[in-house]
Amino acid sequence: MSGLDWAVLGGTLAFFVAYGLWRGRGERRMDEYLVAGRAMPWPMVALSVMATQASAVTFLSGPGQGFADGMRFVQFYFGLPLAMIVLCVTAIPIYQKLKVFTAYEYLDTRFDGKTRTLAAGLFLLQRGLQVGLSIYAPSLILSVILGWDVRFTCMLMALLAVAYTAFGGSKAVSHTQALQFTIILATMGVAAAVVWSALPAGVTAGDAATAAGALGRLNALELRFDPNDRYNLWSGLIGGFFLQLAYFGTDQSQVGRYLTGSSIKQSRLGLVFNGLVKIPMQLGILGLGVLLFVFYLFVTPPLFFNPAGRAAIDPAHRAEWTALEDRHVREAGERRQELESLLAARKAADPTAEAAARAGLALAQEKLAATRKEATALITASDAKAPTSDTNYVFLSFVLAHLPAGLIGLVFAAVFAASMNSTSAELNALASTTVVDVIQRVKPDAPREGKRALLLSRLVTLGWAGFAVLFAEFASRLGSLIEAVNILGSLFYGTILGLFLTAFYAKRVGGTAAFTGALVAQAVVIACFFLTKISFLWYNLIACVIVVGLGLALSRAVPPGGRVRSA
Amino acid sequence: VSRREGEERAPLFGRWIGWYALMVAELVAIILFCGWLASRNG
Repeated sequence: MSGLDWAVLGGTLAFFVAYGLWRGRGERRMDEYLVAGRAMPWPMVALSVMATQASAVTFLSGPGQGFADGMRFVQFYFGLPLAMIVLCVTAIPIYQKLKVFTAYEYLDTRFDGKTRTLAAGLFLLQRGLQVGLSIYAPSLILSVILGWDVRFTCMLMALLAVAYTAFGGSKAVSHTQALQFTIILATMGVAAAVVWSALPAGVTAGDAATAAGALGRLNALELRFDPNDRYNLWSGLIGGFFLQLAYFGTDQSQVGRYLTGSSIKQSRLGLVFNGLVKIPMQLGILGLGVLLFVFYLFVTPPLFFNPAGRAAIDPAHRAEWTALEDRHVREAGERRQELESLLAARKAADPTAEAAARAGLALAQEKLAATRKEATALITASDAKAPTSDTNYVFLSFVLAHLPAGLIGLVFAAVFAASMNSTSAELNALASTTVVDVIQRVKPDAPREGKRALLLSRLVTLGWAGFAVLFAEFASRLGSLIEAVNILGSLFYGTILGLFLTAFYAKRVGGTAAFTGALVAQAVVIACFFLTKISFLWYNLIACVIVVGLGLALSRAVPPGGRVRSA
Repeated sequence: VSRREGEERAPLFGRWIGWYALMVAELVAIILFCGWLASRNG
């Protein structure tokens, strides 16, 4: 990166933090700190909700996924608009009318304290583990690319986010998210335009689609039902619906964002906007990856995008690696020739030549894939712990090699900003839940308003940030266990959702019945995780059905014990 | 206003039906677009 890029990166990050601190100034009330004074208009709610979900990994892995695996990941989001409708109809009016600070407060009103504690505890466990990973994952990628120490990068990432989150709370989070997310989207749009302009002259959108389709990158829809496959229409619509319902309806990091809306209408419009824009945005991110794939059909890509993998090659394997690189360049040239033949055959409307060119292109791609496989084997032979995946590095490799000075720094700032967005919302949610659902209940004399309450909330936010950094440090030693920790975090969603759906729709079910159903559901989901191959997207549906079903069945035996309190 | 009364008086679809219909219509259009892309795959 040039001096200009470092200046843009440093200046932009400093501006984001200063903006957050300025927006969060002068807070005196707890509702300002926890839910931004419930004063946000819908555009702020919408951008905040979207920014919370779209972490740095979304903008790094998304294009990489499009590059390596095509468009099929988009189906994961098909259930999202339907989930938004259910939340607009049910959750928002209830949360807004009750003026709760956290979603789990509602469970106390509807059921009892133990059910609230169970849901809040599961959230703290799940989100507490994941906030560390949401700092670590992008830090690892950025540290490799920038040549920084991963611990330093984690620390920097956490410090940037916690500076304004601890000081300004939810208000600072919402304002910075809106600004940062707008800049991120604009930067990604400019990056996509640069990729498009880098394609050889004369290559049309139709040519790009033909090239991507010929090599299987336009796989945006799969109608075949397979419960073990997480990306098809049905898992996206049904499994995705329950996952998004759980995430947006019961995860405080999202509920806390739309509780900032100044009215039911403003919160609803925020979620409607999210429902309308999220899938097109995801299509755009994956499309950027597919466009990068097409670009690298015309321009020889690196043999392995991840610099850490390349650096791992030891002297004993250096000559073999160089030979593989030479072979890779030759095979990429053959693939380019086959592609040009295919495009020429299509223009000449010659089906026989087109079929031959398609077969030749597929064969050339197979040769390249085989060479790549040998390259990853060589990396492992050099260093068994070296990374063998490089999809997360495809986009940033292009950025570094092909974007103009200044814009490179802005893209890196956007990646940092995306991480700050999700981390700040998570820290704010963890702090809110810890203060409202744990401390104020365990210690009834704990401060609830004024300077002491604000100080307590700020200290708790700092505490969670410290925990996140420590966990991120620990994550660097977890290796392949990271994915397991990530999936473990998602095992609790279904149970929490089941509790909330029971609360919303099964009015005759009391606290004890729902609580028992939740415990059984959690045990079943954990058993499914360890004993079956069912895709995790279905766990939410399984847990929901068990909580609601068992709750209804037990409600005949256990009388409802829910309390009704005055507002 | 008791909390449970607050819940029961929560508005349901009402005049928001247009927004919800728009979201469903856009989802259908996106699925059709994805189907069109998939038809050009392979």
